[in-house]
Amino acid sequence: MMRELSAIKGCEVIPSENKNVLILITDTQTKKQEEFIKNQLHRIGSLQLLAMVSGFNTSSKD
Amino acid sequence: MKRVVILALFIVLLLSFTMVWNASYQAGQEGAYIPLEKQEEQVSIPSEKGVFERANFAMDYTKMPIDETHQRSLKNYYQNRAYHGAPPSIPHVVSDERNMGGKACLKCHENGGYVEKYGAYTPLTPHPEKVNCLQCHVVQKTKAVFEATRFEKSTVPKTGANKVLLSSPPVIPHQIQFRENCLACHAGPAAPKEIRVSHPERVNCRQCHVLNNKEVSDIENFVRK
Amino acid sequence: MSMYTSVLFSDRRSFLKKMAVLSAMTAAATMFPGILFAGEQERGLPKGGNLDWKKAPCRFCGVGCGVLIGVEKGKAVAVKGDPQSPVNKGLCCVKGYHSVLSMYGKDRLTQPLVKKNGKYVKTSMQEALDLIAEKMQTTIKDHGKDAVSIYGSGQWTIPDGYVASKLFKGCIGTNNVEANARLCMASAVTGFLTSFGSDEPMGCYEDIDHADVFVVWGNNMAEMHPVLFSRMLDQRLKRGAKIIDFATRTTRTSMAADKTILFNPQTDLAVANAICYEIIQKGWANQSFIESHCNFSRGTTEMGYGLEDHYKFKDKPVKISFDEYKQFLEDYAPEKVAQISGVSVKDIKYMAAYYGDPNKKVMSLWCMGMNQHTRGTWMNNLVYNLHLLTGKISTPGNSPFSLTGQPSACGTVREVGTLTHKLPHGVVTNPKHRAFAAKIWDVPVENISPKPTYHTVEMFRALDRGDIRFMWIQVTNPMVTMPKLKRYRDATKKEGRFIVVSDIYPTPTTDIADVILPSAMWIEREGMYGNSERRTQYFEQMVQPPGEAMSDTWQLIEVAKRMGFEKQFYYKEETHIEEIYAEYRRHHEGDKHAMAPLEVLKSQPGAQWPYVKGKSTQWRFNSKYDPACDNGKEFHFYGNPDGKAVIWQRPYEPAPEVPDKEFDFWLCTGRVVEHWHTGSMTRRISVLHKAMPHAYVELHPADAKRMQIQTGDSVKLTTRRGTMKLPASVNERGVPAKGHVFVPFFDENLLVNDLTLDAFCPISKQPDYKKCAVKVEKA
Repeated sequence: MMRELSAIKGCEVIPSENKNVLILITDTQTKKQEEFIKNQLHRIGSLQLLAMVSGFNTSSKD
Repeated sequence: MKRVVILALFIVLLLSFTMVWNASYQAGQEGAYIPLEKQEEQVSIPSEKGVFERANFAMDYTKMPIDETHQRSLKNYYQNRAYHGAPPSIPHVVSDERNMGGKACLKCHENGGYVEKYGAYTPLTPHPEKVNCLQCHVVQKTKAVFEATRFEKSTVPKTGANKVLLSSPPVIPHQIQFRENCLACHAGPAAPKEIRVSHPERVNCRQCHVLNNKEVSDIENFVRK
Repeated sequence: MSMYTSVLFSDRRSFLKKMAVLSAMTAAATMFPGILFAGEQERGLPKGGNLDWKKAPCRFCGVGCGVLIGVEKGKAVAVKGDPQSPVNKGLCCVKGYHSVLSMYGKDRLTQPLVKKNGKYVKTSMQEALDLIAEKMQTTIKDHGKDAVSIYGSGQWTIPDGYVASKLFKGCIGTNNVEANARLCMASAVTGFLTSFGSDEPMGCYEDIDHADVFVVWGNNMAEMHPVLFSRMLDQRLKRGAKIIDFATRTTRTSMAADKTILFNPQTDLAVANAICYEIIQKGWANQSFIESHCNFSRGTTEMGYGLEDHYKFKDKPVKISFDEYKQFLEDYAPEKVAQISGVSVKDIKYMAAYYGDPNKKVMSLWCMGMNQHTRGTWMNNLVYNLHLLTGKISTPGNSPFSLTGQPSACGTVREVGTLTHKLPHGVVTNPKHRAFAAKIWDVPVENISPKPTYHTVEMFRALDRGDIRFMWIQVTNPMVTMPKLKRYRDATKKEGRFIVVSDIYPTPTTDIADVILPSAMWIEREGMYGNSERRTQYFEQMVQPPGEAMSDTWQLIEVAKRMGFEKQFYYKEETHIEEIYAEYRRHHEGDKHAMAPLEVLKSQPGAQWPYVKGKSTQWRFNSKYDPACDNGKEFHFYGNPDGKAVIWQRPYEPAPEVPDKEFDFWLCTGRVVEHWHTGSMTRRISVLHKAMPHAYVELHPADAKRMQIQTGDSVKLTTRRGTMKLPASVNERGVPAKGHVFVPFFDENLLVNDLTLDAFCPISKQPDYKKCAVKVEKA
């Protein structure tokens, strides 16, 4: 599954050492790319659970 | 006969009245007593406590962005200090010189923030509990001197020279009195860039970083007598 | 110029990415406690030039952090934490980071020294070993087998201890084998054996990632087990876990804890009973757990403190019922206990509420405060009672965890059994165990003596009396650490005593030796250590030992061969560690204690025993996690024949020497984070010595003010055993309670053990270094 995930464009994979869990970082420019990745993820059969968190930055007064 | 009885009755009444009144007066004199629970003294070790003080913000520090253009360096840091370890003088105008602590200085200097007027981040105080700020920190009202001085600024501890091994955690080369709280100066956007740490989320700094700060005389290596 | 590249967020996009990774890791940590993302950590570490990075367990405390040693041109030059190790996840403490410096002190011993006419003469290793073997043989001939002895250490590697045990118990036939872990972990051992029938913790460090409340019983974890404490602080930051510090002295741990509760010395027995009372009174006891998995017992009380020579004690357990136990606890209602212990009723109920709350997972942690105690076994039993009454045991997060002090007190002393009554599997008193050991050792079973001889304090007393004439001391410094030190120091200097010391630096112990052998330390030789959570870790030889220094294992093997035991010590020099470990593993076969094979230890940062079917057992006695459970129930305490744990009725008894009119203060001793034990290694590390150059005596500010003492003033301490002058320390590293003083014992020029008392726990025979009466004056 790791190989399949790293093959998707715009994705970085960080595997864990001791559990069957890994972190997937997606870096997309447009909504269309997001949709594309989402479809690809759905197609991976060995993926059992997907939990999503996001990083955000509050705008600074610049 | 009847007169004796009536007299006796009145005497009894008077006596009993006197007794009851006295008893009531005595009772009223007893002070109210609420047993005080012995308050255990909460011992505080200043040199040990400080390191944990900003610990609840440790995760926030990891998430803070570092502003390259507005950060300061150790050179800026030492510019308003007479010698290293000196209380810095205030480089900005202070509106009310009779104010203390929370309402005046701490509203910016306890937790910091970006100040557009000066284009910089507010340095944090490692000792916010000391509220009479202007006792030690004074304003720079003029750049001129009254008379010239021969005072020489001594050397300041350098970064990069404090590790024994390639990979060991640097030792603390300065005294920590009033600076027990490491995160105030070593983390966040106001930290001088040379000393900003890569791991503010590790709470117990002094587990790995020990003091090697004897400035008066060097402690020689251990030699068996 | 810093070697670390700080995490600079150069643009908004990479910053966002970094935030996402951080959130994901935090989320993963809460969903899957104990998870590791090593690759990510390794990305940030300096890629040191052409250094070879090899893994090893740290040389110092019982946490057993995994470290990576950087070797360049045959010298160890750098240390970093091993991100792959689930113990420390890439973090070390100041001692660990500077550990390699301990090998390079200028006065390192490189050649054997033999005392001739009062002067030490350099000899060759072969000559020295010949002399030792010959001396042992003549001593055995003239005074019998029990006149020779060996005093080893919890810093002995597993092969060291195994070879010592085999030589002395199997070949020579004496049970005079003891180790300094007797002064460190004996009460923990007897606590486990009396409550569960089987030694060593049932939980593991991963419990830290699951627990909601940490109760630290009388130990300064922030300084003594710093990496584990950092894991606890991390859990508090991320999951809001609580840390409660229950101690006699205010320390760095108290500053970090959520609540500090101070108690009077020795009254921890009463407070633990009070908490048991509360738990039962309020109906928080887990009735079904108690009925299916626990028995009740009581033992002998009022048995003294071992102060006399030839003190003997054997506990006589009597089974009791739950009702009798409840009756006993009536004496320990919080209101009654509050008066003697100095702990308020509110605080006792506070602690009881956490233990009793069925939704809170509680982890109790302790080390020397409870073990170096004249009723140490009882105290261990009482904390197990708390966990057994509430059923909070052997499940992730619910864990009474006995921490070890030394890197291999578990691995060597407890598992290999280098104590007078133990064998690698079982005890010397059991004929089946003797036969089993004799078969693997290839010795006639009559060789193994069925009677235990002396425990450590008694062994040194025997040396004093002349019952022991030959003692070999390896990897420890008893001339700094024995309580009531003067008697035992004088004992070693008496006529007719021959002392051999294997060490790496000159110490007060080498000062009284007849033969000094230079040892190879840690990564100068191959070996394994076993840490507190039953994890055995292997380290290879990375650098060459200096001069003629030789590993303790090989020293013992060479002497054994000279004494005629070539058959049993057939090991070849290139592969001896492998062969010894393979032989040792045979003692522990079976689901309850199997050790991982060497290939597994080499390929990963250690493995926990029982290692069954390729997996470490993390939680024992719980049939969900432990394959050795076979009675069909949820918990199986298979150490005891009926599969049940024991809840012990143990009362409060006062300490042997309490402050009185003349000696009006309590004296406590201990350690500091910078120095390891007697400082023979850490003081030669410049950074650590400069951070903490000498010992001192800590006083409470009110006492100091009354006696007009300031930090740095000279203070005279006097006990019934000796007197000493120390500089004072007021309000610095730690603050003792009023009427108490504290002295760290790392300074060989300020031997605080000249003042301490050699009273010990009658069941475990472990001395109490934390309580005696002292007079304090301004000098």
